[in-house]
Amino acid sequence: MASPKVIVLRTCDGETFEVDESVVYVSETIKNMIEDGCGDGVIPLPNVSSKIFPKVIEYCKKHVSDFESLKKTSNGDEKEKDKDDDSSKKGKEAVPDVEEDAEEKARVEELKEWETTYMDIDQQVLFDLLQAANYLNIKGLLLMAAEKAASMIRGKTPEQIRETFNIKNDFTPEEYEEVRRENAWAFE
Amino acid sequence: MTLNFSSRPIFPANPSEDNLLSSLRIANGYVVEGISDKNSNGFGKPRHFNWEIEDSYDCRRDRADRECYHEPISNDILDILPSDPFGMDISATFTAITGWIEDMEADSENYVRDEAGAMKGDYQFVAGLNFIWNSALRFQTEPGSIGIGERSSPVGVFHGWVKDNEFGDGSCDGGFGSVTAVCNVEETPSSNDDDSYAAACHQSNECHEAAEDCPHGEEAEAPHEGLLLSLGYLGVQDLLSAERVCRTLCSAVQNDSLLWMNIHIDQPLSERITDDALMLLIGRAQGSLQSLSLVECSRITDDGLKRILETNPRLKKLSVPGCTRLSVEGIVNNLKAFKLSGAPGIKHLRIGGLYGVTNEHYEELKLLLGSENCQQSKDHKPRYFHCGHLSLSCDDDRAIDIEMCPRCQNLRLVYDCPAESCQGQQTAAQLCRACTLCIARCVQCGRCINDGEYEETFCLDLLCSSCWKQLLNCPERQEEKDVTTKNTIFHQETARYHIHLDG
Repeated sequence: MASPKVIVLRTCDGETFEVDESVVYVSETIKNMIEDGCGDGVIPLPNVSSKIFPKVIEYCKKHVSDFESLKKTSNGDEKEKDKDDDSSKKGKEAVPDVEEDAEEKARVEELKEWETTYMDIDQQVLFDLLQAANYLNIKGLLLMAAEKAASMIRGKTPEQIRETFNIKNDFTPEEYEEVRRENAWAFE
Repeated sequence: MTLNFSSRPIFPANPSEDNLLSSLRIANGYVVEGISDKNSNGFGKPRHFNWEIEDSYDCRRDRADRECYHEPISNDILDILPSDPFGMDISATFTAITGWIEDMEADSENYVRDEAGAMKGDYQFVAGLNFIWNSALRFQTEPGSIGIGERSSPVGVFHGWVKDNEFGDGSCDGGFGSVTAVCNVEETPSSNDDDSYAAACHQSNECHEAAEDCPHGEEAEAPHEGLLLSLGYLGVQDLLSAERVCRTLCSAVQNDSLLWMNIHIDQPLSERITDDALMLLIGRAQGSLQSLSLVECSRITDDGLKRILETNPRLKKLSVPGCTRLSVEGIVNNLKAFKLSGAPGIKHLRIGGLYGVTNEHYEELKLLLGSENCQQSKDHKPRYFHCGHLSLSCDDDRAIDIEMCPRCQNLRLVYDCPAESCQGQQTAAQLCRACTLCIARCVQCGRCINDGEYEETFCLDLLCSSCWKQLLNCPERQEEKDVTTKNTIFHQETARYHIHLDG
């Protein structure tokens, strides 16, 4: 097998990064670009900064193994289907299933821990990550980051939201009154 | 000037008429000339007032003179409290500062058109100050109000005129939040050396100290664009809160139709939402509403549903469990009209909890949903009874949630049993597969309770013996778990059961 191909990417501030193709494939956007034939040159990423890109790559590296294990399990499913047809073998398959379950559980647990550490970031990084994940179309990362941001909004009053994210209330009094009136029923 | 006003009771137990008269006159914000102030602690000074303010007090003064007081003029505490107990001549100060602000406005208006960026902050600062100032002035003209310069009871200042929830929950953040933001903008004044700015800023800085600090100590800004990406993960209530935060978020919430394609209304909004309010929300989907879930929304009517269907031809999923004003006939008619209008039609309907569903209704609904040919019970996930069942009923992909109960032949929600002793057969052939009227079930795990041990809770729910033991043994551990919907529901149930245990 040829050594894994290395893709060169350039962020909006001019820095270049060299990353394995399999890692970078986690991003749907980059994957599409490569499949369209841009993989040989430098791939420009105008909406991603060099500050946030390493963090994104960290996620991709961790989840490259996800893609590979997904391939394995889909092969495993095919094997299982054949086995199910032969009902006499059913009893023997119970033991390996249990072992696989335990492995799976441990893996999930480990991934959860990794994610908790990974998401221990401040707001600015979180939002940059959200934007990058959105642009690069990395579903898992987008979901994780968006969920974290949403959890910081849930259950808060507008003023609490302003404080959390340091947002200025730029409504004029009339505008604010109008907004308030419109959905006042929800805050009775 | 002495400040021993507090030692004098505002509501003396046995007032002599004179005492009461004088305290009430002070409450009205002025001292009538010619009437000496007995305590002479500064309130007797003649003051200069705006004629407007004095005129508004004239009628009160007349009443004060004529009536014999055994009770205050008004029952409102704010009317009785003094408006200027420290003799600061608030009205004159207000007049002066109003003048400053009008000058500042006039100046900054000239700039705003030329330079959007740098001056905008100042203009908004002025607008903000003006807002606060005018509000304070309005408040000041009411007798007994406390001026904004006094920090002693900031909650009182805002509670009077702002009925908004966010202000009413006891924090002064609402009112001072905007001042804080205003202060922060002013921290980097771009072109003003004007002393009046400094003075006004100093005043608003005092308010800033009274309010909570900004978390980062930086200027408050517009929200990061990334924040807008997370709006899609919020429920309706949180979206409406976000709408009130700033212009950017308001515009995003109101104008992004993607946020409103799948609307789910649950407690606490369920009881409050009316047909019109719901139409407003749905209007934001701009005609591309795909799924609508109204859980126990008791104010939604058949007419309201009709209007929704008329304006949203792409609606595919409709879930209305527990909406007591909706009738089966209404739903059938609405779905018929919907189909006739050329829409692809609803594919998934949830009406569990609606009474009076007859066989004819059921057949018609199945026809309208296009599901008369597909297998209902065999291929779908088993449904288990759980206290939160109404909100979870949209999970599976059945066309309609109700079916004929194998036991009583009524059209109701039918549940499968998770108990191992009832497994091992095809789902459809489970013996205890029935509606909850025929087979009682544990409200937590959904297991059938036939002759086994069970406990009845204070709320007349049933718990099987294992769930009951679990509840008794580790109620604290339940609280420590992550708050998912299910656990929240169990936690709420736990709280209810605690009442039962303790009471």
